Amino acid sequence: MEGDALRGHLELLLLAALARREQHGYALIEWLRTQSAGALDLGEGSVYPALRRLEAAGCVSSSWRTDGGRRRRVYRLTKRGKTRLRSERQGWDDLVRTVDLVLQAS
Amino acid sequence: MSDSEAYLRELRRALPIWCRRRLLAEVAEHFAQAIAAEAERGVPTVEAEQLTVRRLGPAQALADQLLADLRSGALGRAGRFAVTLTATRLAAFATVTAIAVVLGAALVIPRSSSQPPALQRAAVSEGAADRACRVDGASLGNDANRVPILVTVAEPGATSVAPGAWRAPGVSRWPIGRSKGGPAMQTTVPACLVTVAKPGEIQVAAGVWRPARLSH
Repeated sequence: MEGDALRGHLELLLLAALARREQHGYALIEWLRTQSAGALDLGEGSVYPALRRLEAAGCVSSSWRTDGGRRRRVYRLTKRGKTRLRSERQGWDDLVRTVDLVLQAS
Repeated sequence: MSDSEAYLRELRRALPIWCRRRLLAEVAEHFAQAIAAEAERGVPTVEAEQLTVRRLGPAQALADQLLADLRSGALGRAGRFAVTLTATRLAAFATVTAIAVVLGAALVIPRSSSQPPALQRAAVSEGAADRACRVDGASLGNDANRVPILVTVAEPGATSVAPGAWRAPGVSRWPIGRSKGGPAMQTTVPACLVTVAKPGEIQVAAGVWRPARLSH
């Protein structure tokens, strides 16, 4: 799949990743890379601005945490984030179903 | 300089001072974790840094993305304000502030010395005109001899005046001390008449003064 198509859903993917458990930025990026089997070829740095957008929107919260002597910014899903994830997941399912219908008809 | 240091330096330069601290800290930590993870796979540090730089994407692009979010309001109203305070504008703001502080200090700092001038004896003549003391708010200072006055506060409304010239009318910032003794002497030149505004503060006006004590 083209990287651009996945990049457009980066925030949805981050919300989905955080739905599992709270994580810091690098761990999120590693998880996305692993789960997409390397298909998610985006500039990994873009994850950090995306996380800040989500935080500004109230969908995630974050805090500094010291782990093994290192300070890391840990992100977690908020209630609003869970609602948005549910809504966007539904929207994605509808999109996929509609595209499938059209492609099958052709 | 290592690749990670160069990347962070480029990122720091590309971002306004107000909004770069957190991103720099997160990207620095990202490098640390990436290098550690690659080291576990047997990848040397230098190669791990190069790989991480490639995966992160250009530092300028990352900065541009954050700046675009700030300008668009995607990071809230505070973020939109923060982006206007670039390093250049901050420097200009600091310069203007420094100038304002200097000008303000020049206006606030008293022009007169905080130390009273040395006390000198004024000329005394016998049979000087016995003019009543008076208070005159429009009186001029005796700038001719500029000999200072030592005043003592006996009690509100009454003062003892020692020989000397007098300063321009106004509130004196000199400390008021106890009289060191000796009678006050009369002078023929217009002298000061002081009123006690409040303890530690005297009002100096033109007038003639009588020996010993003044009252008004």
